[in-house]
Amino acid sequence: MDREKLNRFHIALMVFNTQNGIVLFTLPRLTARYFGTNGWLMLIPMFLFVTLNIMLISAVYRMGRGKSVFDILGASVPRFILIPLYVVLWALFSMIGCLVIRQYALIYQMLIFPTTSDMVLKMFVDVLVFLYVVKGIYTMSKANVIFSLLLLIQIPLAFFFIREFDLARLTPFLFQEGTDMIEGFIRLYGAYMGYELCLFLFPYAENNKRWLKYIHLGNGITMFVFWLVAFLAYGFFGHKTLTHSSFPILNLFAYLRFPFIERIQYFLFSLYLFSVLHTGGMYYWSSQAVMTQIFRRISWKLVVFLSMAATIAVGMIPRSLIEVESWFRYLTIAQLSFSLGFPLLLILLLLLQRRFKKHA
Amino acid sequence: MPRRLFLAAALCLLLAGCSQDQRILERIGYIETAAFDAAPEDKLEATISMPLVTQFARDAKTTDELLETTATSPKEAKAALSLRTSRIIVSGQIRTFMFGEALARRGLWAHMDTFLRDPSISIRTAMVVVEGKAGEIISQEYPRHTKTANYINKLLQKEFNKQSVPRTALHQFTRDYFDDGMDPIAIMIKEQEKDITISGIATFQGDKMIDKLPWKDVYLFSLLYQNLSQGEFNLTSEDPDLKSISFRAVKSKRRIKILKGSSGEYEADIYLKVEGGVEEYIGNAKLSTPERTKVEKLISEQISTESLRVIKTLQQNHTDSFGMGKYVRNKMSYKEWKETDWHDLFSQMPVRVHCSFHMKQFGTYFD
Repeated sequence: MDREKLNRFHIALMVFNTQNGIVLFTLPRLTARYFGTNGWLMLIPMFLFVTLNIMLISAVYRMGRGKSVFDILGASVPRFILIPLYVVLWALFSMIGCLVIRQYALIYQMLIFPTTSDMVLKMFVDVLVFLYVVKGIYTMSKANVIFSLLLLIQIPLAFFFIREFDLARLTPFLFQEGTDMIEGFIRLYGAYMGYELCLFLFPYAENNKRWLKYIHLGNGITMFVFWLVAFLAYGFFGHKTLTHSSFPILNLFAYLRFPFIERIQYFLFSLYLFSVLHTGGMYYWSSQAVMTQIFRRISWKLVVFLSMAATIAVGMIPRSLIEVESWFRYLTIAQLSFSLGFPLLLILLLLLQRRFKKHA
Repeated sequence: MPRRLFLAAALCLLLAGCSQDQRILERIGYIETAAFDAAPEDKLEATISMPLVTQFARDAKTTDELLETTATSPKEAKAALSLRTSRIIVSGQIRTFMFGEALARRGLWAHMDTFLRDPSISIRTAMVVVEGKAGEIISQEYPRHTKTANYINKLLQKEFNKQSVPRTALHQFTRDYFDDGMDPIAIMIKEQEKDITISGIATFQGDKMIDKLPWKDVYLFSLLYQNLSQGEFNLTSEDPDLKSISFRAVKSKRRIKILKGSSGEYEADIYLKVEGGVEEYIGNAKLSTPERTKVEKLISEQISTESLRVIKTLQQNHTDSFGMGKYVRNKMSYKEWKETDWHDLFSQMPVRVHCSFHMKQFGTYFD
């Protein structure tokens, strides 16, 4: 039976929604803290960096003619080397998935349910994520269309802030009063993270190269949303205020008031559950994709369940938001090396295989 | 089927985990207004007012529950006060923070931490400085008006929405406090016989109140502070052609231009473009004839000279309340800006105001 292929546009939205998430709420502070005045400009070089990285991933697809990354690896690397690599990747993806959910639960707890255990809140999201992932990637991609739309329809809210927006507040200074640029680069990369999971979508995408452009489209939407949010926040709060605000976007939303509803920020924050659901879901799905390469006989749904169970235990260790953020930092560095190193490794293997074929 | 039942049961158990954060309206005291006054030894005198649900009020009359204490911080005060009420005190519905003038002059920032840290406190909460003691105003009953806390809150919101005064909420206050090219302001109120009245604007340097702009200057300040889209104001003068005039639906545009002289000194030109419809006019000119332009010119001159007077006062006080620093900063390099003492420079900067007033209509009376 011919399996139904993922729609290109759905892939774009999947990339967008995996990148987008809770980081949006802290992004203006991150840029203000690490890059200082007009730090929002750094989003653009970061976008270009990610674009180059996506081109690297596309190169793997083109050179391998759409072969799955596991096939490429399996063709020339012995299995006993691959197994530890897979285990590391599995742990990395599962942990990121777990921490994304954990971070959301902790913020939710701080805002709305201060005395409810954050583990209970996390469990709710975990159940949802599990149900989401076991539906399979094709259903996920379709559900994600709605999720993404729910996030994208918030963009027009930007108009409400124009009255309080002041260009003069942006200051003419470029990257002054920042702290650590390299640290900022890592954190900012963390915001864009998520596109690299496309590596595992190769067997599910259509068989031509056109869908690769749609990864760029997804990344472009992300960059637009990030830019809009950061730029608005700089003109609305000013850079110094941003450095002192844990969640500038929550404050921004808090300023909204409609005749029929006040304190809309909690509602809008709850909508981000869908983003977290997808981000967490994609990471668990990827971890499952890697793990099933080792245990081919176990049902992949069981693998998802076991991955989630394993990470819940580890995820309990960081007890506060700031600890979760510092864990994220290490995982981001690991993920950064994965998204650069893994495609390079694959390209190297493909070149070797090609040469080998010629000689044979 | 049994699997689904099991899942449902499991979810019910999970839900029970949230019962700790249950909130029942009747058992909660929503602070509507919190007032803070200076007390000796850097302490605060906090007074809070919480509306009471009618059914529980004595004689079925709605009254506010008023509590007062002295403490080192707002949250410590809250803890002390919660021992005296039968309800859980929450901060989620605070509409107004009132500060006594003495406290405002001592500095507010030291007490403001919780306003920004506590996520339940809205950044739209109004910041008000009270002439005299803030606690006394909210403990007072004003029989001709609604309940005091509600009365003040509605009065302020109405004036903010009408744009007759700049909106001075927590957001604007902290934003301008952190901005090095601007100083914060807060609206001022006072008790006047049997009522409460908005009396002017408190101008701050950093977090310390320096001076008060009287009410008659507030419309001029508003023109300097922001672009109006629906303001209203009155003018009076000695000139027989302009004894008194009132406008509504005032639209204004403010443009600040900074010039750098050849020897490095800075000058400011402020261009105000104002238009509005006349509601009342007492004077010799006929507004339906070309004499109108003469009146327009008189008004323009009046606004220019008067707002220059307001700016002079601000300069004397070293308070850049309408944010001219942001525009000067735009003309400087980072190094130069950091080396200048902005408040000093501001106090000595030559400023010119150019106003052009346009009368959009003169009402239904034709003369």
